[in-house]
Amino acid sequence: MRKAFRKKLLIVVAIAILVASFFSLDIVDRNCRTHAGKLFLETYKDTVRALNLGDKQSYELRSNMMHSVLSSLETVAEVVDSFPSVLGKDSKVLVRLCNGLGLSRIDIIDSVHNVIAVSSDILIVGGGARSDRSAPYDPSSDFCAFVNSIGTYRQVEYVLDSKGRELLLFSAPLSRHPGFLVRLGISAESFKTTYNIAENQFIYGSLPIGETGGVDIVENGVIKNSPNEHLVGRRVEEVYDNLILPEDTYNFNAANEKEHSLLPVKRDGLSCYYSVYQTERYKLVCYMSVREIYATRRTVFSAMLVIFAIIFVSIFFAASYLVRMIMIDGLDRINDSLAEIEGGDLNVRVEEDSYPEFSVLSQGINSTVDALKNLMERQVAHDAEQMELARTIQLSCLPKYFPTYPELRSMDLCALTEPAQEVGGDFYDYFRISDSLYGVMIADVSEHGIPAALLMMTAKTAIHDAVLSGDSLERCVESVNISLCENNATGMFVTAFVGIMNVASGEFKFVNAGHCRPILYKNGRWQEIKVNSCFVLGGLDNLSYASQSWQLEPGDKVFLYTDGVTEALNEDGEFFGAEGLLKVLNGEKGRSYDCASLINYVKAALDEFADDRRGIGDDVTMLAFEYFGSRGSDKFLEVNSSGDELDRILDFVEDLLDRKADLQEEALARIKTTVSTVIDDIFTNITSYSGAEKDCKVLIRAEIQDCPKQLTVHFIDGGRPYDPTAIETPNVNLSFEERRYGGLGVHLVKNLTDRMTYRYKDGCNILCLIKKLE
Amino acid sequence: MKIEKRIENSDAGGNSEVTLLLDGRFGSSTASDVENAVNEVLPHCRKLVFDFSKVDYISSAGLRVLLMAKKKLGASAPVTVCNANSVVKEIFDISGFSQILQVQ
Repeated sequence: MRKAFRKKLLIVVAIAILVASFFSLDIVDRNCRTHAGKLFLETYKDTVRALNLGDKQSYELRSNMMHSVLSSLETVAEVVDSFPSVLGKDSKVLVRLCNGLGLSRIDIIDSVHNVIAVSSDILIVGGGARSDRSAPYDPSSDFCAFVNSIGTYRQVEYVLDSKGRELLLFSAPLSRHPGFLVRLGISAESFKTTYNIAENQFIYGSLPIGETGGVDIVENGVIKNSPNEHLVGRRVEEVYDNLILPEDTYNFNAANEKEHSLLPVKRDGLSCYYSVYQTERYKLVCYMSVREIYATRRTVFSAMLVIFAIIFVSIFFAASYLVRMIMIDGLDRINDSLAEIEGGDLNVRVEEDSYPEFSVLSQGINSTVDALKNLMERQVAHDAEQMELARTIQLSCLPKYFPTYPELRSMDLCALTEPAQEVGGDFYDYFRISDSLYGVMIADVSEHGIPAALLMMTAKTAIHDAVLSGDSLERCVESVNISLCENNATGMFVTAFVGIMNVASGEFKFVNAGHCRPILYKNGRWQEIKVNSCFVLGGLDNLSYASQSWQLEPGDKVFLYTDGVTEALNEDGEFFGAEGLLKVLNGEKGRSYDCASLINYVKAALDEFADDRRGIGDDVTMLAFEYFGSRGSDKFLEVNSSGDELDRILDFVEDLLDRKADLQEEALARIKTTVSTVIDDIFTNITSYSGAEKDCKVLIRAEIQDCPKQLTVHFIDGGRPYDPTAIETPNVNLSFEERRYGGLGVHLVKNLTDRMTYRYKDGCNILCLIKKLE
Repeated sequence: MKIEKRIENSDAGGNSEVTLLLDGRFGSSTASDVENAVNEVLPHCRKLVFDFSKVDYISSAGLRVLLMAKKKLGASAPVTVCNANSVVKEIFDISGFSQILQVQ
């Protein structure tokens, strides 16, 4: 952001410098032109003064010229008066006089006869007074105009004499000789020369402006004078490419008071600016080359540019610094906190309060994060609740009470499943088909999680229902395979080991559909048995499945598991493997433990191997069962539902404790007292309240498990449903007067045992009491 | 169950301190024996002592007899249990009988 801001600020500053430069350039230009305009005005005024001065001097020169003409006339008149012989046709005096005065001719006119009486030029004597031809007259010429102006007050003629010379003839009467006129002939050329000297020397004073400028004095479209002499006499159109001269009616007096605007023009090939001023007679074109007008521009502009650059760069750094101090540092701190929040730590608080705006922003972020956190917590809690519900539903469809059939004497089964996630794809099943046949199954749906769990529910139900239908085991598995193939959209499959145990004969018949090999305990050793493995279920339809069977002897055990067990990894990345499993099973404990203890023991060993479960990546399921033979195990005692039988039960349990509890004498005595109290009260309750008839039997199943070490006693009777766990606890804090009889038995049992569970199944009350022996 | 009666310190009114030495299981099947013995001695009893040194266990049926004895003797005559093992004492605690009887 800082970079982007600086970039933009830089662009803005650059634009500002450009705009400022543009305007300052314009100002400098204007300033230059204004300066030139002032120079023009001043020069115009100087020129006007010079012109006026020239006019005056020119007038004096002409006056002098006329004065010398008049004095010449007087001199001639005096000479004629003094030497009357002149009138006697003595032209010698006139010739000398003519030469002495620098005149061309002197005539004495007889005005009566209108003839030339005497002349310095003897050839014309006697000729008519008007014998000279008139000179060609050009009214536009300055000289002719001048001659006319003289003619208003003095008789003058402009003629060509017999020799072709241009002469001005001035006449005056001789006062002492009436009837005679004296006439002087003055060379027009010399007159013209004098006249022109006056014009050129005094009238056309042209001033320069700077080095390349000046004033062109224009009259009637012709340059009369100019600092550049070669341009004098040329017409303005030839010199200027686009000069606009004001009209003659222009009100020059008012207009000349102030500066005229400068206009561009090319003067004699040079780019110039000009302004035109006017006098009565002339138009004054003040000009100066563009280059000179703008000569100072580069310096001034460069200086301004440097100043602008310094100002704007200062502004740039000041703005950057201020923005960073006020905005960016605060935003950076907020962003740091946001990055942590984005990283997943929703407990981070944004605490930026350097400015009120940041405080508001921080509070906004904090409350948003809080809201998000609450929402997520609620969602997580909701998801967890849903998954827990799903887990409960899934696990509830598996047999979870072990022994599932406590009254079954010839077989004992225990199983355990632990999904890798909340729900899993492993499952097992154990169910009664008939009095002597029991279904035993373990299976594993490929993959795990919710999809596996859903398929697991379908597969479990399908196998359960098929096996219960009474068909042959092969047919059952085939039909399950077909139904799973039909409804398998996702391409998942199931490996399964499905068996039927005949507890009467000891035959265990099974089909292995791609599942792990079973492990058999026979003759004091656990061994993995290589069995025919058929294809998995749900993979291909219309497959046939072959069954096998084993003949189990009393004391034989079978251990089934899913690959989650063997694929557990230890810290070094090694598999637990079938070898590891067999090693555990063939240990001293593994060979001697009952099924329930064995499952717990293997699970504990597996968890330990897998680095406290961290190495278990899949669902873990195990199932073990033991065949006791048709004779049954020694866990059972069947008594009549009568108080008389109590001592038998107590003796039976005490005997079990003596044989198998493996406790110190004192601890054993305490356990016996406790267990006797419990059995007394429970049996009394059963005989009194479950309504069992005298000839009705109560089956007692007592066993000591090794892992965990505990005594489990089941009471199974066919009386009315009676749940002692539901009995309310009496108030044991009353005085003896207030206390009533009864109700204490169940209270004692609850307090003296570690667990008491009741269920009613297949018309039987099944009460299970557990007392830990450690 | 064997029950041994010991009657001592009879006073002028014929009331004595009675000790019942119980031997065996004090449960549902033997409670009636103890109840009979208690009823026998109650009329002439100013202090009743149950000696539990040979009792294997006591169930709620046994507790019922002790409560009956206490109710019949009333507040003036103490009912004492002595020589009970730790589990039996625990049962007296659980059942609240420690507050009703004098357990030694």
